Amino acid sequence: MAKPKQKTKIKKSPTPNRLPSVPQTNPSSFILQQPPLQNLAYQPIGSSDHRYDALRDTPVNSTAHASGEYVPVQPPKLRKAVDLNDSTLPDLSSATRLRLMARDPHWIHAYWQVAPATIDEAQKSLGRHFDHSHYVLRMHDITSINFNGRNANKSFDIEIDPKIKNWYVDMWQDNVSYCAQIGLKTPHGEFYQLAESNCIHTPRASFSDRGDVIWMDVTPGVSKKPFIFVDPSGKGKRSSRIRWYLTEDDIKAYYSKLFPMLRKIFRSGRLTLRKSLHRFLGKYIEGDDDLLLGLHNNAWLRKTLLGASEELVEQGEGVLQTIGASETVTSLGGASERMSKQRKFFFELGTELIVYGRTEPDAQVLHGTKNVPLRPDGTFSMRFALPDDGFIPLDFKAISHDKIEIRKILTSAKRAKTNYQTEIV
Amino acid sequence: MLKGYVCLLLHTHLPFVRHPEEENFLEESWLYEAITETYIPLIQIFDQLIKDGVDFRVTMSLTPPLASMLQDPLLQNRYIRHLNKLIELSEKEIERTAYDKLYHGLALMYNRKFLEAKEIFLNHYQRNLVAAFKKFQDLGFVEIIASAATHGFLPNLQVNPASVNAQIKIGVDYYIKTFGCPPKGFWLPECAYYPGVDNVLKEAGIRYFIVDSHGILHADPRPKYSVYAPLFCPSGVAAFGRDWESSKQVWSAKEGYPGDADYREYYRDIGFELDYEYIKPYIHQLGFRTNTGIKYWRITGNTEYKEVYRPDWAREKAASHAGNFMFNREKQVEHLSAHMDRKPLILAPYDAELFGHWWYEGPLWIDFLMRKVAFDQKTIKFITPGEYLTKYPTNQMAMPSASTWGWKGHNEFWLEGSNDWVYPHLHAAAEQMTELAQKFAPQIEHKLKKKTLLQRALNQAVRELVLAESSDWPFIMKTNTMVPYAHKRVKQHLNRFGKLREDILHDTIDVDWLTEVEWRDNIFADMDCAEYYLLQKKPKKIKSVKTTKLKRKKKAYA
Repeated sequence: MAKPKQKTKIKKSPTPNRLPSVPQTNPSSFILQQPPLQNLAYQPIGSSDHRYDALRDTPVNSTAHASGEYVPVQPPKLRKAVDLNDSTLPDLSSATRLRLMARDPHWIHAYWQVAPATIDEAQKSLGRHFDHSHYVLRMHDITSINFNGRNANKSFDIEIDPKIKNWYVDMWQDNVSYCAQIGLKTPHGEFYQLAESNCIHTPRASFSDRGDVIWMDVTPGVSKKPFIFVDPSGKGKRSSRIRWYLTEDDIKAYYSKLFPMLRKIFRSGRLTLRKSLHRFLGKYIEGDDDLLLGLHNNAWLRKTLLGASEELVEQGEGVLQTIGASETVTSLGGASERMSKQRKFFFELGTELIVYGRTEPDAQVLHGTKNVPLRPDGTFSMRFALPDDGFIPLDFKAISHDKIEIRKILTSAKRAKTNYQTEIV
Repeated sequence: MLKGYVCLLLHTHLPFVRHPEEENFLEESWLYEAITETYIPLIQIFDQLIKDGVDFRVTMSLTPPLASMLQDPLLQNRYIRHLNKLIELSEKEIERTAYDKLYHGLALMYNRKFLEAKEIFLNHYQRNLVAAFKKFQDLGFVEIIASAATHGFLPNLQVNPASVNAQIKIGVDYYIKTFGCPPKGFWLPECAYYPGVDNVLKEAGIRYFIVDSHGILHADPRPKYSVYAPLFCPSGVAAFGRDWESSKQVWSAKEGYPGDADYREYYRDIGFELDYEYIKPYIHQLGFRTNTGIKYWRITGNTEYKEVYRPDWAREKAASHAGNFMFNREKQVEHLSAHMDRKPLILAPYDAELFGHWWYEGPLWIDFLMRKVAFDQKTIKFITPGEYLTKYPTNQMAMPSASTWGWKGHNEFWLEGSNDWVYPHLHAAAEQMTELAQKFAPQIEHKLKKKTLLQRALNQAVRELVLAESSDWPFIMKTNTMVPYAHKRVKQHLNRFGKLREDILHDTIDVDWLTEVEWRDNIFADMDCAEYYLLQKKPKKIKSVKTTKLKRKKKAYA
């Protein structure tokens, strides 16, 4: 599809508040003229002074505004051509960096850039080993630990081609924390680090294995109080339950076990679970699964485990089709093109009837009882859809300007019933 | 007896496609089509419901790019031009179809609808449709929630916390500026949640956000009430989960309502169907065929042959589908309420543009649904998430799972071979912007009546960066349509950002160039965007807390 070309040189119109007193006779000399700086005071768009906006964006006079008439925006004419060439991408090669992004529970995306200076340094440092070294991406599983560079749960290396700048890493486990290094591995197995990545946590792919029910009271803007119900009497009756309020530390501790990302969030140091709480969690508080699992049958669970937004639609004999929300519509233009017609072969025929004529420019022409607008030279034309088996009466009448003479032209058009045939050769 | 609640949420968003530099810009028509087919019909329906005394509730997000385009005088003016053209075409169509019984009524219908749209746009709301939605919110029928500055896909931006911070807080402050009150809820673009983003929402004063079903189901610990009640994140911000049953009934192209044979066919438009010479003035200026919005055919079935559209049949179907939706929600609520200690909430979020633009009868369906639920039964009621939280301030606490409402439920649609090249650039630019903001922090914080050139340049740099971050660009790249436009936009904004940065660092800001770019990318034009990259900037909320105890607590939560 053709696309409107992006202009690279733009000229803009001078506005009175910016170029007040330059008398101009020759527009071309004007274009090259630099405006005095003090006249370029910034008027924020949308501020109380609307002249900036009004003059350039909306050349609407008040009557046009009321009647809804469109007044075309004047092409901008600027004093100085402004280069807005946008076709290339910024060069990132001067910096060394490695970043990880979680794509889904089982894939991590890593991208990197290594600056020439970093490679030079490596070359100096590794000496003759440099030429025999290869690039690796070293992935560290840092789930539930404070990573210090050496204490990863496990690590693995992926050999990479230095020309390729990114990689999707296939993971065998969801809900894990990872960070990575990119570096050179010498033939002796030594690792020379070029860059270190950020830490990420991959999403969970299934239900949590914790079913504790912690409640929270939230009063907007004032407080939030997490609590659990405990049953000190051990009778298991609803009436004997009491609320046990939890502190921030309890919550931190609760999550720090499985969720090291939260450590950062809570900015905590060493965390321990309150002993008293430990006694209650998972022991005396409510269980939950009776409802969550009871609400839904097995088929539902299967769907959920596969990912809830993948609405698995069973059609016919178990044919699965996936539909995600974003697939349907998110962007108007994007989706419209994507789902466009997929006809292999088609053949269509439409008929329209064009009727045209001429008379004195000051005459009046009627089609039936309807007035037909005349062009200044007295010609006119009308266009009618002529449907299958259709009939169009063409009763035209012209009345002379002095109303003395009336001329009529009476005819009609008919389209015969269509005959459709298909031949397969 | 009232047994549960339903929340209809319309996510209303379009990318920022304002192009003042050209008279006719293809992508701007996304906005015009959505106005005619979705926003105005919704406004018409809400107004009529209010007039008829129907107590309805709808929750809507109105993203900053869309709200700012709807309030932009240039685009308002161009919309009028677009609409006038449509009216002209529909008049020609009335004449052309005068002897064609099948189509003549439809030509008249379109003509009437376009004239009504013009009346509403010009005379009821004086060109500013945001004012209409604000009115519905002020009257208590619609709850509008905030969204990120430019629909940035936050999980992929989290490498730079400053970017996430800026996306969320610019969005919230823009909301306050536009609607005159702080937002209760927040629409995470693409429902993309990751643990930790709720803390930024908390700082911005947000009380709830929406996640997809598995965001709740895979929460830690497991949710007691599945997606039928919100969870509080440890930060105290509530997460509401999408109900998949109601979603499927409307979303699914195959078995959902919009695919019914009696509904209008989207893919047959007279812009493509009619004689080229005739339709030429109404398609793109360069002569390639585009949709006009006038479509005469119904879906008919899984066939290339399409029957003519019958509005009365479609209307009947919309009514019966609304009844069916209501019936299913009643049954669902009855089943759920037997197992819960509170009234269940069924949250059904959709893209607003589905209603009207894609599914032509969608607004009518909403109209029927709201009326039926208000008058024909007593089991369910519409509610907004904000109201639900007021009714139930105590909820289970759990950490929702990272998730999106995209294909496969995670980030793949926005992070794969076709679009992963954007992220190194976005991340590098965000890093550079953070450095710039730190370097020029005193200048950014120095409040002056008139912005200095440096302040203007810094603010514009942030505007360019957030525009490049929009999730729409990688989305378009993945769908493999209009890709050159998405590429162009990302490159443009990154390059403009890069030039501004160079100029700022070398003290060579080109005032003409800056003015030109400000004129083109005028989103958040009157906001001091650079401030949002000062991470140490204290959120406005905290200042209002008086007691020292609370202050300490807040600090701990933050």
